Amino acid sequence: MRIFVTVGNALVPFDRLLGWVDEATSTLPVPVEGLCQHGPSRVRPRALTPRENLSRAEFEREMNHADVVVCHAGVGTLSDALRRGHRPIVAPRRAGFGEIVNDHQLEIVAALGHEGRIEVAEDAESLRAALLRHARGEARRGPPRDEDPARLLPVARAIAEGPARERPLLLGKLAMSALAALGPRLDRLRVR
Amino acid sequence: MKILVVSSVGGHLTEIMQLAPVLAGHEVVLVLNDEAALPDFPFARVYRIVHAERDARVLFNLLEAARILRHEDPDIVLSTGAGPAVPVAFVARLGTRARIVFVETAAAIVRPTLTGRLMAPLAHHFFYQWDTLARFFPRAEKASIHFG
Repeated sequence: MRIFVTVGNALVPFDRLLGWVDEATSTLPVPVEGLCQHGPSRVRPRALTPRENLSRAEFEREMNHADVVVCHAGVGTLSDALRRGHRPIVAPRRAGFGEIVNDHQLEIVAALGHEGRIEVAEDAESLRAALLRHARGEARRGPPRDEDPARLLPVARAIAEGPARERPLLLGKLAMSALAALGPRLDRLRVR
Repeated sequence: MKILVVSSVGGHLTEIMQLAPVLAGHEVVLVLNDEAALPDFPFARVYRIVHAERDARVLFNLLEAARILRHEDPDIVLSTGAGPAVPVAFVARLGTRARIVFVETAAAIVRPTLTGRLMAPLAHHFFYQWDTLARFFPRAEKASIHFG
């Protein structure tokens, strides 16, 4: 069974989840392989190949090849996993453990969990149970879902409307120029 | 169309790049608030401003935003947050022609983010991604980019 573990590109570790992964994967009755993108975390699940960070292409390849995804509750990670037909096993990062700035990941876990689109891991045991269902074939990923291009239409329409007005108010423009004169030189701000 | 994309690094940047199909073909200028690997997109120019965290550094962001906006004069300012969206939108609304488009992050479900609450009066177009937020933003529209 091929597992893809990813904790996203946050600058804080998520050792709690990786500890559960290590515990759960070491006691599964099937051979386990796959990648663990761990970022700044210190725990390395022994059954998986550790990688600090992945390029976008590597990330997509792992998402495509994995039988099951285990991840934190970042919006980008979750939408990528769902789009590829996964029903990822998710643990929200918690502010109380210093894993994130606030507890907003609880909201998305509650919403997607309620809709049955993700599986929530509460501890090593529930993670192991979820992985076991995949190992036994009781749970498996579905087909990739085509993205509906129409979902971007509202934003595309707003952009197509162009500028909000012909020209700014003179007073506002003067105020902006005064602020700009106080600001750092443009070449100090440009990186590319 | 010249689009100024404003984002903090991390999840918000990942989220705004979901709009890449919409951005393609426009002149896109990126403003970030920290060092980060840039997404795989042909940005015309990239600027980096100071990383403020709900503190006085936001005032410095106003000066940086003014400098960038005066030079770029974009048609559109687009953001999903977080922090740096507010000073850039404020100055753009004050002194440029730009239409300000804000998409509240898909991570906000139960209640809006602070950025969202500050952007609601500044943005010409405000999009939220979950119906649960509708009651907070009477003027806003829904755009379910991630989990529709």
